[in-house]
Amino acid sequence: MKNLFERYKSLCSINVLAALLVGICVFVFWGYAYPHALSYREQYQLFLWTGDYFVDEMKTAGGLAQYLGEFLVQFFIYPWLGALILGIVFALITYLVGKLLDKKQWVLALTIPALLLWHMGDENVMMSYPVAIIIALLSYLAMRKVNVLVDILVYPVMYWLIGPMVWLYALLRINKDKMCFIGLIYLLALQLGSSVLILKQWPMVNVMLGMWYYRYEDVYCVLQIVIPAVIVVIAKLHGLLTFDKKYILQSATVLLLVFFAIQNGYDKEKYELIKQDYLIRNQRWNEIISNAEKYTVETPFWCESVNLALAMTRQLSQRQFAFYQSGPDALMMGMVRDMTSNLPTMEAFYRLGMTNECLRYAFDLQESIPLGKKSGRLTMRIAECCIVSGRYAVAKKHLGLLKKSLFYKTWAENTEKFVGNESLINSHPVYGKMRRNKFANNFLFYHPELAKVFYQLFMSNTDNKMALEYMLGQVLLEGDAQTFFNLVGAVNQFGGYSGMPYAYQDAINCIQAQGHAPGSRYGEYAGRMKREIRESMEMNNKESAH
Amino acid sequence: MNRIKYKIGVLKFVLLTLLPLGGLGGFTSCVRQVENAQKVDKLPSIFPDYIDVTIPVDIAPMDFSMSDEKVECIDVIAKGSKGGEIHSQGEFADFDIDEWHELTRQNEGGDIIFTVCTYEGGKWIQYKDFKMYVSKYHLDDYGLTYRLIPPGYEVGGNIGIYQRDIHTFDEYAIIEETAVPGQCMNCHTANKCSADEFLIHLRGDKGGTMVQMNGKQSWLNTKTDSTKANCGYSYWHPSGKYIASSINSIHQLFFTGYESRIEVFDTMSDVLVIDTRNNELILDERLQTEDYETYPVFSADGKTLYYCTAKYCELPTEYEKAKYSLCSIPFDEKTGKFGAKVDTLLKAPQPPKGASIRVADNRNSISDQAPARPLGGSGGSFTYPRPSYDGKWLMYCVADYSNFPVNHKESDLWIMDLKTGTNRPLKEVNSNDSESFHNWSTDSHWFVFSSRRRDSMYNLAYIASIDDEGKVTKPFLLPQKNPRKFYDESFDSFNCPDFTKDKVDFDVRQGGRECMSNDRVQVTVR
Repeated sequence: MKNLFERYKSLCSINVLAALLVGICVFVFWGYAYPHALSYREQYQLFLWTGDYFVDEMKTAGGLAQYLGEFLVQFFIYPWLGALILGIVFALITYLVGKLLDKKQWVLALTIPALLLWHMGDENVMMSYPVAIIIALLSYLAMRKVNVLVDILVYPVMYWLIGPMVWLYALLRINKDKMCFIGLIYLLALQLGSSVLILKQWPMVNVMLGMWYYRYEDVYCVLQIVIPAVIVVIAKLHGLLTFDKKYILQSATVLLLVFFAIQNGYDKEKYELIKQDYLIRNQRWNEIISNAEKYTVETPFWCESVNLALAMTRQLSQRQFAFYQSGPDALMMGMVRDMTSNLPTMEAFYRLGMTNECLRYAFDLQESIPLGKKSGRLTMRIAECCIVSGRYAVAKKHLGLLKKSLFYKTWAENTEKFVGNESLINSHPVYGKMRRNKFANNFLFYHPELAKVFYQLFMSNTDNKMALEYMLGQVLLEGDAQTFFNLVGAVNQFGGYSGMPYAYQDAINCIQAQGHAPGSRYGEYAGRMKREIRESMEMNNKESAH
Repeated sequence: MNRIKYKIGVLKFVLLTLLPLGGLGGFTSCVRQVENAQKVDKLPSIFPDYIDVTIPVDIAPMDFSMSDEKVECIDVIAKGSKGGEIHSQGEFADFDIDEWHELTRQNEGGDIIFTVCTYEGGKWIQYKDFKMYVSKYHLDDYGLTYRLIPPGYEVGGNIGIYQRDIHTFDEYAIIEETAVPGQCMNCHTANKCSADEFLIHLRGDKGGTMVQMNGKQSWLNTKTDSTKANCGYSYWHPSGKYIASSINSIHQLFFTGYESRIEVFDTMSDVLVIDTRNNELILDERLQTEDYETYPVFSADGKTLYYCTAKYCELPTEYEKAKYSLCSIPFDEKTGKFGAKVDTLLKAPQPPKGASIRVADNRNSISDQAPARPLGGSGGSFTYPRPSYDGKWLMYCVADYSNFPVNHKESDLWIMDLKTGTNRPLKEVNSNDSESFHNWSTDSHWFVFSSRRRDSMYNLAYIASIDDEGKVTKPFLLPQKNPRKFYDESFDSFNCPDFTKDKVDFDVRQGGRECMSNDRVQVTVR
């Protein structure tokens, strides 16, 4: 009984409680404030439960950390589970750093999760980073009493498993033994050697600083180095601090760090856009609109998301200009070569029945993910578009990929029955509708003439009300009054509205008043566009004059 | 004691973390004696379709699977008509590499007969035997080079140029995207399969042309005030002194219908030659007109430059009018000058109305008649000429229109006998889908090409042989160990496959450094 009590007491040490506190805070932070950030991370990877996948990951230094990071991120598809995992990861790091310090100095250990929270506010920091820190700390604690000569074997193995985070392990191992310093030179030589002999396809800087800690191989964050450096500093120098006098200072520092972490690490506009995308992914259209009513991010991405939500709830014809419109790209953006910008465009194509365009955007979005990573979400879209357009072999290939994952497997197996089954596809509520909405004529899609494209789409199936609203919306965004008046008849004939929708009536009033319509939403938009064009021309004239 | 417990705990953690790997192997094997096999009077349906293909001695083992994924076990006996026998049993036919090579050597000029039995539903089924023919022509080249690229639209993705030892399954990266982050690389172009004389174009903000000769890399900026763009499609003069190149303003648009995906077109293209000794551009006004000139290639003797040309039309509006003729112009290696006559070897039908024929003189042309199109359509566009290195043949693509046959389902390979001028479609290798990107082996008895026949999207590399009389054999898909798994799980196209005589030795780290430094040798105009 006494033993049990002692054990309980040990478990409930201040260090454990601090770790627990951090874990709970992090869980709440991600789970309630930023669940969309977790979904965002998950959608740019596709963890496969195959040996080949593991072997592929292990081909480069840091492969195990990457593998385990991706293993964890697959669960982020359920944000509460992701928040729980992150809570555990942060708690573990706090606990392990605490083990490096005296018990009374547990507050110091909190600086690390605070810094990590800051760092992970960057959505491109990969989970392999905290995983590598955990493995380095665990290894150090396990090897603390083992002779440094063992590191001759440990360094190469650990470098290959977790990448340059092995330096955290190596620096923590430094003591007065000069072998430790020789060890550091040995580690440096190992990295250089692997760069020359094995990792030839990677720039030296990646070999030295890490390949898998950040999504983009040519971007390096200061915090990526600062965090392990701080761990080493507090582990080595904590003896110099006298706990009693510095306690308040330490606590204040940690709180300040957390404040800075959230202030600087979590850009409000960026995360608002990530949230819009998350809501689109989950088809929570009304939440998109209610968010938009409270906060505006003046970008085409935001506009497209809001317009899509309006269209999906049949409000686009009423309220389009009640929200900020960025310009002619507010309904559909042209191709942007990154992995995020075109997500709402792709989703709009999908829902309009523009299957080839959706396939194109999904494909290019996926190929924009650095280092050839696949995306479960995008692979699903590609497979669906291939089924609708009859590219069955390609659909099967993509479904085959999804079947090797944990969370997309069931969907892929259920969807496979559509491959080649025309009647099943035609009777499917989404796929069938996409086929019915397909372009009657085959022509080359030309983004600058988007209104004409929507016209072709609408004329292919006049039941496609969304195409009608996108067509009129695009004509208004382009300020083409003549075409708008020509198309107003289609609104009455095919729109199924009880009266002229507000956005169109407002536009008619504004155009008839030649822009002088006080309180007109469309008038505000048209006026802003005119101003922007004028300013842009003036700017160009100034530049050419110089 | 606590310490040991702690370490055991750590070990447990690591093991539990690695638990997902437990089921990763996925190896299932079947070891069964073939007994009482029920014979069926049909050939086995296998992937890849290796039935009746012709292979070279020492090619990598021609592993294959049954097309039906439900087959639990396959038992294959490969027996040579001139001797030798090997056996494989398992999920797929997986031959031992040394035994396989020995079998092909023993049966050079003969056949290998395959007896295939499958285990399905608790019983063995034996199919009709099929053959592979072992060619008398050796394929002594080391292997293939190709660019692996996802068949996307505007984003290159994670691309790389690779080389594959065709006698084994070994593949090595020549340059991958990681070495030059954010840059797009065009295909590796070698001088007659040379491993040491080749070039690679890179696109992007650090774009340029890397020319490697005698182990030395030169990074060129090929855009000048007199030329409208950087060099694009290139081809070496056999002497190595010149590189013919096109300069193209390449664009692409995308179809709304389900049948096709992409249309690639040039809004401008010209042809020029680079003198590799002094990095000078050799321009000729006949190759730099308002029309479109592209795909220049030198003949085997280096005395002729072949190229494709189309009359100017409004692109992309008139994209179906972009029909390319195949022309030739003499080239003098000594002076680096073009001859007087431009010949039209294959004239694209239906030139745009009112267009004047720019061709200087047709009297010496080999053939003024375009070959009849076998697939219907509105006529022919002749592109991507590739003369064989023995000077006998000229292989090219024929599509309904366009200069980018890879995206054209109807694109087929045709061949011209350079001695007689006769043309014929290569029915032996063509399919209902696109064939393109062909290249010759060093001895010109083998050629490799890309085809989308498997799924209409992913280009795969096929190899076929041609004898002295022009008889072409059934092509075989580039062998892989467990090919169905490999090709099902590959999300890349094999673009521009070419043979390489030896293993390419490219210092990728130097290449990456020089690329990212943006330090370029500026070419000048002669």
